[in-house]
Amino acid sequence: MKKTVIFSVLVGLIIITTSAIQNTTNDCDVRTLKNELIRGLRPDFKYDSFKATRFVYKNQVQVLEIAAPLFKDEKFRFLINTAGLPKGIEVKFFDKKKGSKNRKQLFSSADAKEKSKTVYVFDPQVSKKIYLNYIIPRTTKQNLSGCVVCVIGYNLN
Amino acid sequence: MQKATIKFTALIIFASFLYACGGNQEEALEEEVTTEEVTDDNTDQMDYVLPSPLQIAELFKSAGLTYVGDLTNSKDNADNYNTKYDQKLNFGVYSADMAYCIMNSQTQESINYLSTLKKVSEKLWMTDILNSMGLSKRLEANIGNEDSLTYIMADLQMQMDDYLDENGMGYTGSIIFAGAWIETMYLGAKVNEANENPKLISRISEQAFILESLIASIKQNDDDNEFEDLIADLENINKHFDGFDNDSDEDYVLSAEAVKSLSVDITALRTKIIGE
Repeated sequence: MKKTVIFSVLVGLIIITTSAIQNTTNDCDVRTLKNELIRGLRPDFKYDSFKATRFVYKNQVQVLEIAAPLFKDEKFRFLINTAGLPKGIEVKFFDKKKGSKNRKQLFSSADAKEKSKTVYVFDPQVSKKIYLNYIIPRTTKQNLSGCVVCVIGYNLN
Repeated sequence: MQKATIKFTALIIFASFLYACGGNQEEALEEEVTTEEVTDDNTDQMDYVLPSPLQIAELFKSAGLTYVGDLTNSKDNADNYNTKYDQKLNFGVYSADMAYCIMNSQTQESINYLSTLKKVSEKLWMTDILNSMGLSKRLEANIGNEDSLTYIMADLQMQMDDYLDENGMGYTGSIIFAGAWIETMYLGAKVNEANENPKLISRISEQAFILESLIASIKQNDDDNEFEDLIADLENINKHFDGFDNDSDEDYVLSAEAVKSLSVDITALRTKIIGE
């Protein structure tokens, strides 16, 4: 009797723990996501840098802003891979940081013709800085997380 | 009795299943993800991407950064860097020196700097990156081919970025970049001192917005106030870019006088970092 009770409690604990682990981890293979993007740099652009952004969806809209430098008269390419996300986000580029006067939107993933796309490519035509925004939708799901990867390439004239 | 035990066991297992699946049922009911209008007030976090030291070296080179052999940090100094802080900064310094040599077809010097980088990376436990790529052999095989050499350097940067990200060391990247940035600025300022070059001055001036991001990036990762000194030193350099307005569409170029005084402070900071 005692053994059976201990056994059943253990089985219960294993089930609960496994479930908890599954709920809280969402493995994101950044290297694979990044390597997919690197192919999009060739042959014209050289790898410069990358940024992996990991986040947990919340019960409110989140906007994560990333400032990236651009040099005058040089060509740049931004590639963003959202395949590591359980739910779609919107990717936008702006010429100025949030709150700036006359801030202009340069790109939005919402304008992409193919709605099922997970990779976005943007070649900006501005200099100085560019501001990449990830607009993460609100969700009532618990522990929903993922990552988005951005790779930047350059081509010096 | 036995029946009761079986019932009890079944109940516990069933309850556990219910608990484990409960979240999913709730999620299934609330599957719909809703969005709402985004205003500027919704921005929760600002992050920064810093360029690779190679890109800055290439920009300076295309603006006329010539090779002067004795400007780079002595390889012998590598033995003197005993704190993680010094090692990270000087890993950046030596990376910039290696990029400078590569840009100027100094392949043997590049290989020598690679050995020095390995030495410093061993202290930082980052040896794997440099060993796994067969860098020395690749550099030797491409002697004289500047384009291939820059691609090899870009590969090295990629491997290092992966390593830092996978090991949760993103903040280290900012410190390494700080060392590389200061060294490249030093090389640019010194070459410009010897032979004033408007294109180079333009590229040096352009670094204002890199410095702004660099300071912000280090501050963001400085919860333990470990980098207070470095931030203060970089903010001192930033004073030279006082008139810079990131939102302005006009070109920002430092005057010859401003470049001279920037050069003095950059040299002093670089001396402090390399420990001479």
